[in-house]
Amino acid sequence: MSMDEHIRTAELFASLSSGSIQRLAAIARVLPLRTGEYLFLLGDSAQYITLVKSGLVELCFPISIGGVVKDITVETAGRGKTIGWSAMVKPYRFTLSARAAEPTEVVAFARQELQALFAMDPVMERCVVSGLSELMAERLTTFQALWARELLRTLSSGSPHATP
Amino acid sequence: METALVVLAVGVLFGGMVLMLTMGFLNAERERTLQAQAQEAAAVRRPAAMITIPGFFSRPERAMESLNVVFDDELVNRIEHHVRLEQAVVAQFVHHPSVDNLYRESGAPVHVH
Repeated sequence: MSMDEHIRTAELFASLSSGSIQRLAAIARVLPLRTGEYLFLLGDSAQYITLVKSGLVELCFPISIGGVVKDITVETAGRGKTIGWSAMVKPYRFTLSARAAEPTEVVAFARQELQALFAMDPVMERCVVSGLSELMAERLTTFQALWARELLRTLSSGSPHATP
Repeated sequence: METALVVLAVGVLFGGMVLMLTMGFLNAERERTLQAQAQEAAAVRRPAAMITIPGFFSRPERAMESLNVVFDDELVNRIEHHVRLEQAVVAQFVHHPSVDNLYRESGAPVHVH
């Protein structure tokens, strides 16, 4: 499958024209990841937005119990999924860590190069920003709901965390 | 002469009473200070122990016991299983927001013990 075809399978770029896809392919960088290898860590500077070309990426954050810290997977991203959209949103810092659950290949697009394309192709910008808005809205709603459910459990259990 | 003796005796009695009252007050203050220090030390330890415990594990009577939990791969798997169940429930809410979908049961909660 060519890079153009890989990019077209991505949910974020599915509605772009062939010309826009070709321009994206010109700035695409393929990164291979071994199983367990981290693509980025929570708090890192976010310079690249990334598509999963093959394999599986786990998005996780650290939890500490009894002084031991481990990364807990909260979301997975397979082929065609977009990760690292923090690269397009200030303060350009990753809010989760990402690691390969199996041998994986991702396609990375540098923010500055994307912005240069957007300056030349406003339709591309509109499509990509619209797609990013949907991704972010879904993530926000998901975690909002998870938080609400957890809050209800905490209040129902009478935990001392629940300060009126 | 007798008057002077009476005045002296009353003075000694009165002074003794004041001295006893003062000593009693000082003892009580010292005990209060020690108790307050002990309570403050316990209060500092309690939040530090609880902060590291995830919300769905915390139950008041088990907060201190949880410090003995071994954070191994099995526990990680159980936490991630819980997260997957929760996300499956929440996915319905994301596409069809409603109070029923928000608080739908996901199954048995995770217990550390």
